[in-house]
Amino acid sequence: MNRIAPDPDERVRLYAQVTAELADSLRRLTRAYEMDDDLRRDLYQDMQVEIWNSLAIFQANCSLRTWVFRVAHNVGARHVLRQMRRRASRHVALDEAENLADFRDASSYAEDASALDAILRLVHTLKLIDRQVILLYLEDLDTQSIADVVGLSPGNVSIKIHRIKQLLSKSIDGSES
Amino acid sequence: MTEDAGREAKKAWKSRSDGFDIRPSSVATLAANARVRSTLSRMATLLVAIATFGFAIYLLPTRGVAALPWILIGAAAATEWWKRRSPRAMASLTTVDFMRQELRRDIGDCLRLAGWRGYALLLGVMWLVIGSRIIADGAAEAFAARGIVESLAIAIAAPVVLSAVIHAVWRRHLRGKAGAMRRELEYVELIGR
Repeated sequence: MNRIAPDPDERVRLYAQVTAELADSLRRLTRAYEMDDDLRRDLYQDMQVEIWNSLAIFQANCSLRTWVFRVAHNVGARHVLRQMRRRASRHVALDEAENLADFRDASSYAEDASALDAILRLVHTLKLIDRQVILLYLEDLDTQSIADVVGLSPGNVSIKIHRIKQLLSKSIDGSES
Repeated sequence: MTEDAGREAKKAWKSRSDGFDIRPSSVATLAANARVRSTLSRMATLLVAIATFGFAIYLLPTRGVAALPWILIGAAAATEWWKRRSPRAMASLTTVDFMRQELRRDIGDCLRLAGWRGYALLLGVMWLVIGSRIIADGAAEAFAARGIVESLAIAIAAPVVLSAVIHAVWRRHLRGKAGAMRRELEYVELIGR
């Protein structure tokens, strides 16, 4: 495998590039994994540390963006799995989410709830893999890049994105009415 | 309609960003500190494993069964050290593979904890009390003179009864956790094909 960041200077340069280009995306991402402010800051810090560590072995077989998202999502997944060990929580798959009353019943949202709150509410309900697909879709990654990060086939990702759009449509309509 | 919803959702998603940040210079320090912490913790676990195995070897020729819990504790510590020794890959794995690895490891941990390791640790704690009293009282010779069957009965019966009661509750809890993680793993396996 080709290592393109073997020296410390290159690592610092790559990290600066990540900070400049993806800091906002990473902050949004932590919001999708943790609601609590303090825990979210810890999670963001963990992500940054893991990204820094991973840049020492960054390989040229994918883009920096895909690499960073992969690390960040894996840190997020680890965080959720740890939370699962501590407290019982139930996450649903996309097809189950379609049947949840919360996303069909417009009155379940407070009048002042924003579309963002509705999206976050949907995201926090989903199983980890589905959650990652929706987050990467919201971050404007194309189907192939999402498949590269998550590890699903592009066809599978397309189907999920189609369902996600339907769910988002219901969620946002619900939040606006 | 769904296309519009997708666009609207993306717009809403990017509309708000939390203000917190970390200075790039701090990240290298944080990473170095984490590495030192992890190395120290690994070394401590290894020292515990070596010390307990050493103590078990010391006990074995003279006190036989008294060494058993120490061997088990040593094995538990050695397992823990081995587990911590293997680094958790983050970037080289897709999320599906990463979750598969994490969940399998967690399920294994739960079941192992629910099984022999938890039992061994409890047994070990009991033996710290009982064994040290026997040694302190100078009753080791009397204990050994009873013969292997009777010694085993005395050595194991009391801790087993107590640990079985405590452990039954703990094990059920851990098995419940393992069950939840197994369901999660089944879902990952299903969609990751």
